[in-house]
Amino acid sequence: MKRRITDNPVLFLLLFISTVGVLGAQDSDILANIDAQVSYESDFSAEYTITQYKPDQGNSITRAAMFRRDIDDKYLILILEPEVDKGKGYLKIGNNLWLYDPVSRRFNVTSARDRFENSNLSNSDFTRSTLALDYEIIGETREQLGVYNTRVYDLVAKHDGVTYPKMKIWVDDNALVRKFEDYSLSGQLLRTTAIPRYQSVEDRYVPVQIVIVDALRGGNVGGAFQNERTILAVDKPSFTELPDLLFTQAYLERVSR
Amino acid sequence: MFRCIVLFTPLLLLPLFLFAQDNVDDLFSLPDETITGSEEDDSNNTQSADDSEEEAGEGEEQINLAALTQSEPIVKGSVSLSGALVAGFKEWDFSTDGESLSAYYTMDSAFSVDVRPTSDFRFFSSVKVSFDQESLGISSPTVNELFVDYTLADTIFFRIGKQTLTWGQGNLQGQMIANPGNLVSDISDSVALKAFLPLANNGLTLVAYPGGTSTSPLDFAYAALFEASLGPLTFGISGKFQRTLDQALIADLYLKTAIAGFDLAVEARMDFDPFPERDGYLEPTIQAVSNIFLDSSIGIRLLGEYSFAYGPNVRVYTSGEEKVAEAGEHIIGLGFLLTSLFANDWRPGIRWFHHLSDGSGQVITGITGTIAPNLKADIAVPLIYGASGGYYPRENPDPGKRKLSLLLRFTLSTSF
Repeated sequence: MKRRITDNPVLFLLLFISTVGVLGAQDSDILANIDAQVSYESDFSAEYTITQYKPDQGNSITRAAMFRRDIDDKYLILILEPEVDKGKGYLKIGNNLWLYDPVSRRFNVTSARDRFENSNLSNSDFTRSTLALDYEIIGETREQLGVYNTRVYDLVAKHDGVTYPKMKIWVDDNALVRKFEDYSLSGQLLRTTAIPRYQSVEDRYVPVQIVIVDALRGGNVGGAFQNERTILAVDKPSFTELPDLLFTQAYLERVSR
Repeated sequence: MFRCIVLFTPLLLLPLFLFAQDNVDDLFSLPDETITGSEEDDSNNTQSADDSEEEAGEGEEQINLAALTQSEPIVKGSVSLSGALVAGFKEWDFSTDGESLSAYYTMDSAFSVDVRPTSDFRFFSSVKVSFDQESLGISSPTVNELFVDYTLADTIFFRIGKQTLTWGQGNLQGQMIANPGNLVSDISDSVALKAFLPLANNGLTLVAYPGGTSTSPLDFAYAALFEASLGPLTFGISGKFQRTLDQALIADLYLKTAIAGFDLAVEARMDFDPFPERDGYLEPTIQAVSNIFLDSSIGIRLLGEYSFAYGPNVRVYTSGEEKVAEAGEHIIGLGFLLTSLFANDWRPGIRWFHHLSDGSGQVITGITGTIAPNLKADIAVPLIYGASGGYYPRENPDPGKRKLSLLLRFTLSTSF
């Protein structure tokens, strides 16, 4: 009589564990490959134009300079416009956000603030992609997203240090994420992010246009509810090396007005 | 080139369509032409890349770092006028003998000049002029700050001159809880030299300034602060030496992190007398502060702070007299503010300080808001409790020393 592997529970268990391990490793590789498309080993700088639309308040536009050093998990954002906020800056080192008060000449560091400039952007939106470190895949389907035939991954956070406990991502054939849906722990949709355009710069991909729709915040306009939304446009992307002093609190002090 | 423009333009316009239809999927109805996919696309992209290089030569390809720290001279100013009425009681029997009504008025104006002729050099000066209520005249202008910034080789940042600087984690400093970590609280009394060097993932700040009237560098105050972040934790180590102080050597350490949306900080400072053989040797003084802070996205701001001090010069008022605090001095403070729940920027709040050692305290309930362009109003009810020799009755900021009062203040201000 042929012996089946299921007749030997120890062998079956070993095969099951190794299969799960391999699949887990494959899932991690998938996310690592996605991360690699938009993570940079060298310094990165670009000009961001952030258009914030709040239905009952109209548009506000902020132009900022963004500097990133992914290998040290740092970034610095410097506001260029509007004039009233010019010189205001944020330095993020790991999970810690440094702010500078030009009146008292004092630095404050916080790990708790999440939203950027009271917009729909999170501080985590400006850091390198860390899907492989923070999430695991619990489901996969295929879906047509406009002209893109995408793989859709359901993700759940591996730890509590992330902004969104659950996520759904649409990935195109170039391993570029085209759409994110961010969910709360209870499964409520919090926001939707679309990246319709990327730019290839020195063999690396840079998102050029990002649209974020807040699923919770909004207002009534003409009797209809409209969601708050933010459009981020990226210009002048560059991978030129930047001075070390730029990624320190002293630079915030140097540029403040 | 023309094909790129024809395809490019709808992509730029799609977000506008989104506003009407609110469906992000519509953004993907056209392909992303900047991502190569086939040989034909490669050849088109080569041609468009050449065109892009031509266009790039005409404009900037990257951010001009030097331009961020260079500008034409900027002159700024602000002016603020405020008038306040305060009515209250000086005694708890609420007798007419204890009634008190006062009026206060202030006028402050400040001007600053900010000059950045090159990306490495900056000159800044600010001057303040105030109305003196006692003399009913305008005070002599005072120089708030007058300094030069210089950055050496994009590596070391110097600030030289009369400058303001605040260290430490105390959030309620200046509001009757000390900020013990601010080892350089007297820096603005004279000129100072400050240098910052990148170190680890942040940097080291070095400061030197005259700590008193002596011009000898041997009598100067020398201080240093190193701050860095490690995972979710930020820490700072600082020290100061000034031989003209009774306790000439000071060391300070703080740790800060966030849990469940709250910022948590703990800081401890120790003042030493490094010359035990001298007359009048003082035992070390210990000060500590810990606080939590929440600035939520729903418009609630919470702050709690605890302050501790122990040492030969720490005194408390107990049993009707002031004596050395054998168990140390303990003060707590709590603050609650609603920042965005009401129109016109009206912000109600409450703040409470309590001195655990002598039982005195202060409670202020109030609301502040904008009643017209450039015009703000504050309504507050301050309450001071405790024995007359206690910390808060003695430190009562009300010139009329009222224990319970109603304050109404209007402030007209603008900046340019």
